[in-house]
Amino acid sequence: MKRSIKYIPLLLACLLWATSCNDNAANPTPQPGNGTPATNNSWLIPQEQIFDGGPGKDGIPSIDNPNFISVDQVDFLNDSDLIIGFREASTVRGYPHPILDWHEIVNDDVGNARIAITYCPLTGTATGWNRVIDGTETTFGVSGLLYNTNLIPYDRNTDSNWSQMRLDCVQGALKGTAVDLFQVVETTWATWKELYPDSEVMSTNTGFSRNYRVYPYGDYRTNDNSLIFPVANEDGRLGRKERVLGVQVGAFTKAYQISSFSPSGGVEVRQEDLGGEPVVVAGSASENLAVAYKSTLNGEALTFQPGDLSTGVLMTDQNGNEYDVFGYATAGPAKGAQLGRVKSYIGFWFAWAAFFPNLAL
Amino acid sequence: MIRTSFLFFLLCGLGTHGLMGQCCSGGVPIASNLGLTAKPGGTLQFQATYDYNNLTDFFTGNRELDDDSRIRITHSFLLETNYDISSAFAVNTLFSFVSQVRRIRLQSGGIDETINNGVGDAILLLKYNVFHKNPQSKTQITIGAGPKIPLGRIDFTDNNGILLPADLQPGTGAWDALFWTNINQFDIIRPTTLFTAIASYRATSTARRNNNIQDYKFGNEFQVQAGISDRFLIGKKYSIDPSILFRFRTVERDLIDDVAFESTGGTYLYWVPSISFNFSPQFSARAFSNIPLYREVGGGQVTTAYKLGFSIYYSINTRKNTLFGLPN
Repeated sequence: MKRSIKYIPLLLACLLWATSCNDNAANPTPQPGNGTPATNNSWLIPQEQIFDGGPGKDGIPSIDNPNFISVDQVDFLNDSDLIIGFREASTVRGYPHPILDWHEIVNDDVGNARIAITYCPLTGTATGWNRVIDGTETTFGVSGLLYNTNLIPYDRNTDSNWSQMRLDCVQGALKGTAVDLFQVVETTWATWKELYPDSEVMSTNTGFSRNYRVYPYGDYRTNDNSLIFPVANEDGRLGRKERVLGVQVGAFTKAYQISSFSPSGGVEVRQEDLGGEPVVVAGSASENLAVAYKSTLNGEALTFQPGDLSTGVLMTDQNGNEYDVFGYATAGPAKGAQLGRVKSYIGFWFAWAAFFPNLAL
Repeated sequence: MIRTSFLFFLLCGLGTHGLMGQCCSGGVPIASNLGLTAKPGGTLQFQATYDYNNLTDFFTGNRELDDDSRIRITHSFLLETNYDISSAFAVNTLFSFVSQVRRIRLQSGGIDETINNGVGDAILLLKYNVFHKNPQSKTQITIGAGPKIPLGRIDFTDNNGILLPADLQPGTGAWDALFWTNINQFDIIRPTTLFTAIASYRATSTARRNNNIQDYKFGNEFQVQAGISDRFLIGKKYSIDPSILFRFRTVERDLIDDVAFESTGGTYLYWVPSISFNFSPQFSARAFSNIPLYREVGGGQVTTAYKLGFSIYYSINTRKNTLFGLPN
């Protein structure tokens, strides 16, 4: 027994060591990337409403060297899968949701455009960001943080954090800088391959090992009861996961329920006055598509009619011009011109309601 | 009497060592560390354990992905005590301290690391020795139940004041109910061969998280660990107990506001080799590992690549001896 008792100090020493660590807070090691460190640590958004999503910074890896294949080579998409489209001059590229569900950001070069496709699977929002900021090219990564359960990208030059839905930098050296948006559209794979059979589609050869046939969030995108993180404001006028096109003109924000556009098929065009700005909103429930543009061209007010999407025409105007989903006039006297952009993108209703309380519907 | 003493010696050195637990979505691997078995009344047992859980394997479903950019490491320090009030009843406690590391290789180079330390949750268990009236029995069955007490904090933030996610907090914030049983069968091949099985079920409850806005419930958890061990003498004073066990663990998905959270939960099977070195019937040390044989996770998760652990055990009969040299 005495022999055993002599080991007691050893036991106690081990226990003391095990319990003597400070109850210290987490200690993330700042890693500003390769550029200038962020210098302004305060946030433009309420800090207590920012949550760490779990995977951590770059834990969801952005795609920085995307590869593309032709429409004919795509074998991993179902017709109802959604795809984000971008057009730069004659180059049209598609970025499928099933890939972006795992990566959230694609840093790409398309012609002269340096674009970051930013996509948040939790708010269903996709936007195209100009990666050239104040004349300097950067790439964006996934910070792992969420505000109103929405993606907070960070730029790798300054380590500044940005809000995807607010479309501005909310912390860091670039705080207050607005996002320079590129026009992107979203629709189903079935519609996309009909509209743009010669387009380039991002392939699953991303450089990362992922199972792109599996949606990683279960029934989240259709279950209205499911919210992974809290949001600042809720609005019961629509189901949380109803997809809407939100349009912002100045301080005025309005949401358009995609399923309300021509539910019997085809395209529906709505001429709107949003905050004093004439805007055309075109959508199709069956194609899961909605876009908004200024309804003036070269100072002339235009009146639009629905087009036939099976021929690639979203809408026509009184001058005989035909427009595609990117707002380009593809035929008619204004061929080659593009309708003016308005700040708009598609997302889940709850997200728009969280960011823009009391928005019009 | 000799036979009874031998079985007691065997239990002290082997059966008493906790069969190491899991990580980590529930905080500290405490449920499966309850392994101290029944002893004669008045016995006070201590077990201190260090548990290193390396989570680097990234899975979706049962498919491992080729991605080593994310590492999660959990260091757990556990102190278990068991006091046998009588040959029938015992009170078991387990306290924990946990250090959790999240390390990510940044795409632009460098490492992003988050470390969080804190006191974890605790367990209080009342146990009953089913065959206490027959100490000669080759079968020992102990059952127990009690609460998991939410001592651990769930409100740690990072240096920017951002609340850390649930699986980087040392506590769960919830009172859970724990049901536990241990079966030992002695003398199955030769007198020193022991079959042992420990099963536990943790029925979880809900805690308020994320600034008290959401209900968060970790998934209910069942696990069983079973296998055999034997004893070999080293000289006249010491002995070693090698053992081979298998651990099966299944965890339901976590619930957020009563809705299943996809990338949680899973089913796991591990091989658990271990070896104990017995300095005396009262004092021993054990090293162990967990090597995964099968893993199937909900959604995409990093999961255990391997576990290593070390524990030391000490017991004293307070009715026969003095404790730490002090009179009773």
